[in-house]
Amino acid sequence: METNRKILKVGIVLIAVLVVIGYVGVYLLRLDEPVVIEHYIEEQTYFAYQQSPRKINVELYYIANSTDDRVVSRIDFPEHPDLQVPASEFGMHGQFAVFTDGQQQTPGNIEGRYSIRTVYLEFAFDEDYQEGESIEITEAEIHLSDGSVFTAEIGSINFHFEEEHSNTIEFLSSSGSNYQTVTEFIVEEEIELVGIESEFLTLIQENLEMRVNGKNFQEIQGMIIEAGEKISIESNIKSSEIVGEKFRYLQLRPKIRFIKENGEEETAPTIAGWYHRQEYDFYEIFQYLQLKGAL
Amino acid sequence: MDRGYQKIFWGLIFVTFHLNLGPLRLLPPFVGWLILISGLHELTSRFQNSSISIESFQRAISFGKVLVALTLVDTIGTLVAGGALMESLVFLYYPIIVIMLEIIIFFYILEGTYKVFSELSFEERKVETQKKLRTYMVMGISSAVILIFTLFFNHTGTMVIGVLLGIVAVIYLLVYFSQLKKFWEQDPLGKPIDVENKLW
Repeated sequence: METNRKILKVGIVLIAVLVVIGYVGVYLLRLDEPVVIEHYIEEQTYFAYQQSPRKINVELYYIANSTDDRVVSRIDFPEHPDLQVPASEFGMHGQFAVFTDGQQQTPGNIEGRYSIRTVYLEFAFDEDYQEGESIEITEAEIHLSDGSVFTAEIGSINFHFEEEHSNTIEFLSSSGSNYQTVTEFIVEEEIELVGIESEFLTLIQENLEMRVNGKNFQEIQGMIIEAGEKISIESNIKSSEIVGEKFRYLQLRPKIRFIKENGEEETAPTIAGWYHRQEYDFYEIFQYLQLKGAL
Repeated sequence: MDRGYQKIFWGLIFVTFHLNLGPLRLLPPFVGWLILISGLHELTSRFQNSSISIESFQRAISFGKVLVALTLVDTIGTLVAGGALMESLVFLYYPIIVIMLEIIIFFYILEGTYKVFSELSFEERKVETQKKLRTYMVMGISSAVILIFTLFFNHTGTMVIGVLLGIVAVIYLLVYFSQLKKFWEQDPLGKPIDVENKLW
């Protein structure tokens, strides 16, 4: 019986110590308020091809405590108070929950003490926005279902309004996954390539493998494409090993710039956008939150 | 004796397995603990004025009362706050504290049983009780440790292992309490036990 008594003592001490460590850990890892990850989003709207209001869907990701059952009920953008953007964590065609009733499961992917949450936003732009105009959003005022509000730096979301894009190159086909896309175009007249453009290209340059007709995208300047030939763009975004870069959500719409036979310079969208978000584990989230000074 | 173990058996069933009517739990766990305590009272009263030590059973009763209080707060809290109270971070390790107290209670119940067998010179039963207690404690403590990590990391896979191990530990105890009940029911030596005069 003495052995049993020893097992009991050791067991109870072990459980008690682990419970205390657990409580201390839980309070140390607890977020005072949710943390929005960095978003780098560029979207073009072409008036000639879209009817008013021109809608653009954007996803916004944030990290909350895994026990946080509040949901985002509204998002305002202090830099653009006129923007009224429906926001929901249940999808745009789902439920716009303002209050959770305890029965409904809180959305989000739980990783340890945290949950990665997605807010679905639907921007709608009417005729007030003029050709050549741009909107940049870097800050969001996020309203939660319990009435609390927090302001967060969200990276940079840019919308550009243009009348139309070049028709010199015609889209043929596109395929791809979250990480890799292959897009093909056919050229109507002889062109000389200038380069690939994206506002946030520098952010992913080191992790981007992109080839235009088999050639590195940084070396395509001066490449001549004859009329009737194809342009094939293969791009692959590698996952970054740097903590800060892992938590960047990218939604880019790269454009191809070229010079026509008559010397005019034009750009055309490469159609397939680059959407890039990595999956995170508990330790990576912890590292990111430490980096952001949230813990 | 047999009625005491029977009540402990049913008490343990009611605290472990839930019977719900919609959101309402028909037999809240504190009722199970009360039944179990009542069984322990039967055991202590049986040996009250004998040379057999009832100290272990009395300790089990004391810890049982703590669990009655805790589970009563849990039940009222759940009724009033609709579960939100128990889901708060303060109560994160509440289930572990309950498991810890359970392990202590069953340690004392089986230690008391061991002492009874020891005093009455049921050697085989004494050794068996000791072994059963050891196996139960190893399973119970392992289950608690796994669940501590599970609750911290929100890991479903390990939660299943921890919960299953806990259920196996409880079933293991239930089987033994059922055997103990039958043992005393069958009148082990063919005549009534007179503990006071050590006649059996």
